[in-house]
Amino acid sequence: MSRKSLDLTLEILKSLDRAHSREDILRAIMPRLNAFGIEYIISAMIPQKRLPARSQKNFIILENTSDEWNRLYFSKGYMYSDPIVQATLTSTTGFRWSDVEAAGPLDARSRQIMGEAREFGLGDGFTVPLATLEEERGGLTFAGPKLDISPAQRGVLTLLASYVVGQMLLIDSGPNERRMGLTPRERESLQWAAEGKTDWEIGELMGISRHGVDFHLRSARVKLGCVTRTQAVAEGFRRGLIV
Amino acid sequence: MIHVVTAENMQDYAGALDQAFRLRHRVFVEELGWSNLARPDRREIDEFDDEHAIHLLAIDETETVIGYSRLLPTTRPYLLPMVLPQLCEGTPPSSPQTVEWGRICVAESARTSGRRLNPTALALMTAIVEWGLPRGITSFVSEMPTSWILRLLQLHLHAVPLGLPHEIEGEEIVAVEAAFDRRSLRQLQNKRGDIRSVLSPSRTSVARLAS
Repeated sequence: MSRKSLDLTLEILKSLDRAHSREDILRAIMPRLNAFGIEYIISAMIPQKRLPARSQKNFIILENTSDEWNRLYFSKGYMYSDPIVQATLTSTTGFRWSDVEAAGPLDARSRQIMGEAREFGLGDGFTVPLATLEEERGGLTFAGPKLDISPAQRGVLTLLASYVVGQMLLIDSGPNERRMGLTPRERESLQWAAEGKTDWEIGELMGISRHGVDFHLRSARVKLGCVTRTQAVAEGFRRGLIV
Repeated sequence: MIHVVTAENMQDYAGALDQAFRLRHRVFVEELGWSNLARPDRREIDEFDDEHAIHLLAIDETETVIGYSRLLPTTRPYLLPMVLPQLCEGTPPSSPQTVEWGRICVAESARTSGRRLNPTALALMTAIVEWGLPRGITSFVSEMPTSWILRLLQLHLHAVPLGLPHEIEGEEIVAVEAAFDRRSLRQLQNKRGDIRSVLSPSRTSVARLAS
């Protein structure tokens, strides 16, 4: 039984290795997980502070739920009351959503979120907490209307979670994806900003005017969905746009 | 810096090695509660600490051992097949190109509370790659918390599971074989923010011995 589960894991890892985009990743894993009742995958890092809806989305690593659910979730700030998000931050191993519901009565807002999720096909889930090298905390959820997973398959999902996120981070830090978002000048300005330089100093270093620097940094902020310079620097680090 | 201690240069490291065994006892027995490793002299030494073991010692400027790892050849009996066989589904790896990385620990004084990976742990990992590559070593086997896999992948250490995770002493543990190459070394140096060698050149014949 566990040999079979390991073989399944290795087989999925092999196709993940060849994945070069979000779509490739979903294609590599989803068909093999349908047998467990898994239809959706949601992976995100959890921001430390409350953020506006548009920047919360920057913390999403990979997901294939409906646009409508996404809009609802972020516009209503569900991330901050979602009992699964809370459990992800406190758990060290993968858990079933039913374990969270069984651990104690949920408050009204939590019940509402879980109820609405169910309407979007997210009635049951298995969530694996994850932490990156940078000690960002987050997780990956496998969800569907009703899951059917054995203990050995929990092991498969636990392993898969790390590899899916690992491959996604690899793709994102590659030359072709999110990095494309910033122009070389925007990236360079942001890099200097990260080193604590003022607009004037950056202008001197890059041989452009202070207004030029302001222009590039403003544009970088918009692209990164950030309001302040500090936020943009943090986001730049997170996405590996600057070092 | 990381000092590589083997049977050949052990006599130069008697004091440091003694500190290392005490550190192992403090971390694994007293802190993590692996009571079967407890010893009355409070030096954690087992049957694998023989002449084939390679000890990686992180030693600071005050000659204090602040971190430790042990590498064992996989061509001889090692921990995974002998002590934790349930973690490995198939035949355990056995190759001159593969070592087992274990007993990974960092002294209380060198732990950091920041958001970054512990620098001593990162230096120990860099040491394995830096020491291993010129010796034709291209992978390590390790039994580690499942949550480490993502970090290994981020360091371009290509970890492949050897079995499914099992709960051991209250922690979810998985055995992996992680392959590494020049790219891994670059990434490790990148994350350390320092491209200088982590290996200590000093003290006798460390450099000569493996060639």
